[in-house]
Amino acid sequence: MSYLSIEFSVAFPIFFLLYWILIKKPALQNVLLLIASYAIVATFDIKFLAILVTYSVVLYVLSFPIYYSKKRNGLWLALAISVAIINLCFFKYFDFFRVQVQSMVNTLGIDYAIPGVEILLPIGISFYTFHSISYLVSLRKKEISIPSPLDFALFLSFFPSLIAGPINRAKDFLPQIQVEQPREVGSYNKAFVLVLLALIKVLCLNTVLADNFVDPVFANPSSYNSLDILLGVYGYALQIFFNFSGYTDLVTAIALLLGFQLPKNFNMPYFANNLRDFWQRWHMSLSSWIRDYIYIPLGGSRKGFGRTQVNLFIAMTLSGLWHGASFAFIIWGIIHAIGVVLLNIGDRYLGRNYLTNFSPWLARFITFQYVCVAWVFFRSATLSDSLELFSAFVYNVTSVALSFNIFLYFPLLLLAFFAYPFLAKLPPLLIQLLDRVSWVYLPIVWVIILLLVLTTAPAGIPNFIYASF
Amino acid sequence: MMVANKKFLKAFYLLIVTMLLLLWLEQRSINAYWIQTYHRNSPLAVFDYSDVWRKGGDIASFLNSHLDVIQNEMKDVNEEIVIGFNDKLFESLEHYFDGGVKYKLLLDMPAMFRTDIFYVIPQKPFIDIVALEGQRKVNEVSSKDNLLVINKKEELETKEDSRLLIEKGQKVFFVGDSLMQGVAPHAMRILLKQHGIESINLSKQSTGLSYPKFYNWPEVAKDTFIKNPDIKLMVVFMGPNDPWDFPVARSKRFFKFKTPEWEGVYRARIQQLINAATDHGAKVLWVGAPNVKSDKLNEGMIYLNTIYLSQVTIAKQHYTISNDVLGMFDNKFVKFMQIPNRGNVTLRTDDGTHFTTIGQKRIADKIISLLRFVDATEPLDK
Repeated sequence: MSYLSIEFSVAFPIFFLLYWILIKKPALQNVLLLIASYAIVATFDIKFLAILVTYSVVLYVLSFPIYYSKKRNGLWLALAISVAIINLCFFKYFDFFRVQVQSMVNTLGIDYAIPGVEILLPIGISFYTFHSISYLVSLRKKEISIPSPLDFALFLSFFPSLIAGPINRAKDFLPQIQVEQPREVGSYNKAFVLVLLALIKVLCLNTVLADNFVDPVFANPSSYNSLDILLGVYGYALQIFFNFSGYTDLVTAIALLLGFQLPKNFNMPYFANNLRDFWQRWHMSLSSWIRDYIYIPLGGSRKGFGRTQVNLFIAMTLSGLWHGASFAFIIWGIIHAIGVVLLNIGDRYLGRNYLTNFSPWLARFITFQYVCVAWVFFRSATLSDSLELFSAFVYNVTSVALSFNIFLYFPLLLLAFFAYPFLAKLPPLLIQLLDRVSWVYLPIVWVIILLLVLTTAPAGIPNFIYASF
Repeated sequence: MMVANKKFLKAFYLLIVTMLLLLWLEQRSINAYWIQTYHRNSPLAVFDYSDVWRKGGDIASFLNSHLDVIQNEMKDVNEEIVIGFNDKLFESLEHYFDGGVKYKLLLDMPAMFRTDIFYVIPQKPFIDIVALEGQRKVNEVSSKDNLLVINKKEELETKEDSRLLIEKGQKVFFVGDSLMQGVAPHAMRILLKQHGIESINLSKQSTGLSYPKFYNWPEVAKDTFIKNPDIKLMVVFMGPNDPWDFPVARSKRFFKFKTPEWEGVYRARIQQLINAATDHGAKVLWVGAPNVKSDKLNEGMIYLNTIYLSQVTIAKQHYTISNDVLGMFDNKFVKFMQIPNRGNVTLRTDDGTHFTTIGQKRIADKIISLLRFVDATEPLDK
């Protein structure tokens, strides 16, 4: 069930009422949340629920030796993390590895076809795997104690962040589940502004960009002019930002209405001065996870300049692979890795933030171009598709007629780029304004705003891109 | 404690009143969505007797139609600017631009990254195209396994090249749902790069012939042919959105799927779509829907294919199956296909309906293999 569907919008107020009737019993609220979360997983496929429940039980059992064993807790932690990773790899990478092994078999000249096995990617698996690893590590560090089985199950499956994050940390999120004092509903004006942002971003901007520019260009770059292709690529950079940050706004609002606080995931990423800065602003809950659970355990920056770059390379390539089993995602990760390594080298020999100090706008512009090049690989179905796009971009300068009105769209893009910091200030301003409106009239205000947004939105319920990672 | 309680009540009031008002205003989109998704009348339809209730729908429609006008005007202005610019640019570049598409690959892909070597163009590309003179009776194709029987028979009967002729300057038009959305771009790429043929792709997800209120393909096709008289072939590939009950026009009743009434209306719509092409002297190539994973949906596909085939045959147009290139030689769904020297290749995505890139390319290739090109840069027939 999509959180943007009519069904969800009708079901949510009913759930909301039931949930807050139990205001004095947070434990019962948790039960209700767990039921709702499991029900949502089951609407995708009942098997996905079975996998999630089995996974939760196995990891819960493994928590005990990690927490209580005095000498061998490291070993138990390694075992539990292995279970989590193997489970993820099995569902996510099985077919990818089958194809690689098959090509080796072919190279060796053996006439054997490895049977294809039907394996579906369970909804949210990439996200609950990361939730659980943060839990296991915190347990070993004794930052948390073992929660009740229900609390643990809810931590893994909490429906707002189940489908596509943000990635919760056990240390911060478990206490929100384990409260004994009654929860409080968060600011509803803030929640509604977030919903509004989500609708504008996902329903309107994401769809309009995808239908008109991105999908046609990426489907068939060779029939577009170079400037059209450039517009299509910029369009995708914006589309994936609107799609993912819009999704995050929506689930943050849902969590807020249920009295929960989700971690921040975006902070104006295309305003980054360099790639390092970009990763501190884009999918923040993933990049900080990769930093804490991959980069730092590898040694981080503590083992000399050369080793730091190697660690960075490994961490960013894995981050690419996390998005899906394909060379395109790996290359995307490698491009970002190369960029960050080059940045570090530049910092070392030219002085830190050389370009930013020279001109922040130029630094932002160059960073955005670099990120866009990487997005081409991310978006293309195969590697040869992305190379075809680059070929068309180079060769179709004068040989193919123009399809889009670049005289409107490029100035519009430029305007958006400079208006970005100003636009980011609007939502807090709107919340302040709404706080002055009496609660009695608020629904009228909201209906007018939402009706306008829904009218401009194209028909249909768009997908959340990150739900398939 | 009391404060917190009050806040949740205020929030609930805001949620519920906003939601109810939006249901009232957006009732028409919701009703259309409901019929398309659940194939029955939306629960909101019970209020339709009330004038006050319907007023809400009027308000939203009023806004919608005004916005449409603005959007269309913007679209026209954009088109004018683009056309004006193209004319100027290419006039000045006449010596450079020779009408063909200059195209080179920047680098050749290493074999392991390439997906195009996964498929093999069928050796006898036209064996299963049906281009009949109308001698086959409609009744003949009602049984489930007939598709293949017919194709085999055709193989024996076909002596000369029955591929569809496309000449330079003519366009191909792709019609369909999300299946076609995956396939068309690959076919368009081959058409353009290998044969210099341009094409138009209007395929749109969630569309078909069952819910014309949501998307009316015969109308869209008609408009497209008027705007583009150089289209000489329409390729249609659809199905999975259609095997359901659909509403009777101007009524609250539904025609039940597979009933004679249902079939009558559905056939008429196929005919309208075909007519849109034939009225402009274009040919139609109808690609049969593939087997799908869900048993119920698959039953629907098998039934729809018999209707497509017989209606296309009556109209003396061309029909081909998609199942063979997806490794399916009976009515059962398979996800993988064994390809020599490649092992088992995944052709379908997890949802059991759509295709992987390789699956899409195989169908695109099949479509191309059914075409014959004259005056193309690289002639196929040798």
